[in-house]
Amino acid sequence: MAANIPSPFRIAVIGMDARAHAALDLAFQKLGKGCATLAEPANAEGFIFNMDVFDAHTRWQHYRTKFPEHPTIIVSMKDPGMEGTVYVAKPLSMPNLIQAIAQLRTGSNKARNTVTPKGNSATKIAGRGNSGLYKYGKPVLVPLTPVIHELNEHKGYEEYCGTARDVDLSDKHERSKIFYNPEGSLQGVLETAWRQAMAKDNAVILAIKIDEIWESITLLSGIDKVVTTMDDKQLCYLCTSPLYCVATRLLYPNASKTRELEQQALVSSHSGAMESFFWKIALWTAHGRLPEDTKVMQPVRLKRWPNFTRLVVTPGALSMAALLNDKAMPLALLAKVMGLPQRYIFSFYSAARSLKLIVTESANAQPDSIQQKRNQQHLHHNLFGRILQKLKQAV
Amino acid sequence: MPTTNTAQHRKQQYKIIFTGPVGAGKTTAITSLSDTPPVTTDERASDMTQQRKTTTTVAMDYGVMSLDSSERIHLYGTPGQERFCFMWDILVEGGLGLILLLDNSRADPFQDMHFFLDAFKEFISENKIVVGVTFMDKNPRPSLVEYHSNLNRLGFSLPVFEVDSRLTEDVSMLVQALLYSHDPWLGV
Repeated sequence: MAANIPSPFRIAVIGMDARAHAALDLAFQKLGKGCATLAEPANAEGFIFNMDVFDAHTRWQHYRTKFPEHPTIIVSMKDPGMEGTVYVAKPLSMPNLIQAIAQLRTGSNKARNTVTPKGNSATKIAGRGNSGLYKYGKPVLVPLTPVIHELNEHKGYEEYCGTARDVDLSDKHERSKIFYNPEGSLQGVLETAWRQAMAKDNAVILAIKIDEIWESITLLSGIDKVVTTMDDKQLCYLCTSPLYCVATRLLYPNASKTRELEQQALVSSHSGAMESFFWKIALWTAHGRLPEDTKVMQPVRLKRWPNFTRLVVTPGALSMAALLNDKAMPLALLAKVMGLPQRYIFSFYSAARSLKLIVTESANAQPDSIQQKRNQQHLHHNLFGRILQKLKQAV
Repeated sequence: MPTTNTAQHRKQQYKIIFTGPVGAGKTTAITSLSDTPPVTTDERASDMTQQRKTTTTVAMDYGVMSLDSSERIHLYGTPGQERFCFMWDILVEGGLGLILLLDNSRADPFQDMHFFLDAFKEFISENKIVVGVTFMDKNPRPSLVEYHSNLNRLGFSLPVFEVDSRLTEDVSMLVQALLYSHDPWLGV
């Protein structure tokens, strides 16, 4: 006899704009494992209430007047300490939301529960004695980006940025998990080969034996192009494996052979721009990590904007380019103020560094001034958000 | 005195300006983004422009992106020929930013760049600008690195992208970079 599978919990959302609403809807469909579905308030069995929205306190009072008994998940940066709710801290993640919804179903929200953002979402009964009155402080600009970024992972960024969770960058042991050594990888060998190609002003060919077949990557510094016989899947595999596991050879064609290869590259469908190629190789190799000599507390900035029309654009890349082109900032601070998973910050840095776009500086960053700028909303912030949404729909 | 409705209407009208020399791809770029077929004011080219294109924009190109029923982003393309430069000041007034398209197949793209940066310097001093370089597939030099060096010498540090103005995703990326230049915290 088949087990009864509960129908999805009908949940309505209060305090989120249309974009966040749509993102959450998609998240429940793709990541929610059938636990919940978004519904209209009139048909909802429970609610998600965003306490970081402007005039949240007023909205909360209206909500409770209308739906006094409905089980509720509170999402916010700081725990507002509200009786009879389940609190899920931001940054949100689907596993935590799923757990919170499970608590609503079982009615264990009668005492206050907390689902923490890190680790295995240990719940605790807070049992505070407040009367339910909540004094809401100054609104904090806190977007629902982690859910959106989890969606982005299902659009293929997982391949480039991995899935590693954030670590405590102030903890030496935790920090050690975020580094990789490019030297022993395809990236390291290619970077060495590229330097040789530039120095000789001739092509360099890296031949690699995969499944008894010799594949090749030809670096043509004279025309800034790379020709390869391998597809993205093979290259990605090589980037994530130690290179000593496969047979490799470096070949150095002479000038006349180089010219011939360049002519072929100009008409070949297997050729691509050098920058695009090395950017992708760096993303695959880094997989959400940093080169091992990176100092996360040292300010870094960009020499110039990357050529984004010809590069894989990972989540937050344009924001980071705009920020780091304007002002040097340590990666640890960047990760904190952007509110993005660290793997996206690190991926961008690793790719930009592979193209020699990163400059390290010695000046101390001003965390308070950066946080202040973060909290000041641009005059046209909402308009720009709508334009951005329109542009992304058009593509 | 404007009425509340007119003031409100004016508040909801925003624009982005595309500029650059003749043949750089301004009209094509606007076409790539516009929700409706853009209004163009092309006439048959009578001067040396003929050697590059048979028609040229004589007043401006106009397209629109509708965000919702009341909010629109107007896309204006300036005429590329210098004799129409009197239009430029009128067109940029109240704009959100400038997109400068440069044709890498022209004899001296850097001269073009300097010209337009100078022509719009007042607007640029208070707004943002991004640069799109077209026809790089057939004419890879100057490279984007050289564009950045040239701009740095002039005191600029801007987004500069290789662009095919027929591709919506390329033109979209230029506009996105313009928005992020204004507001790096957008979307985070």
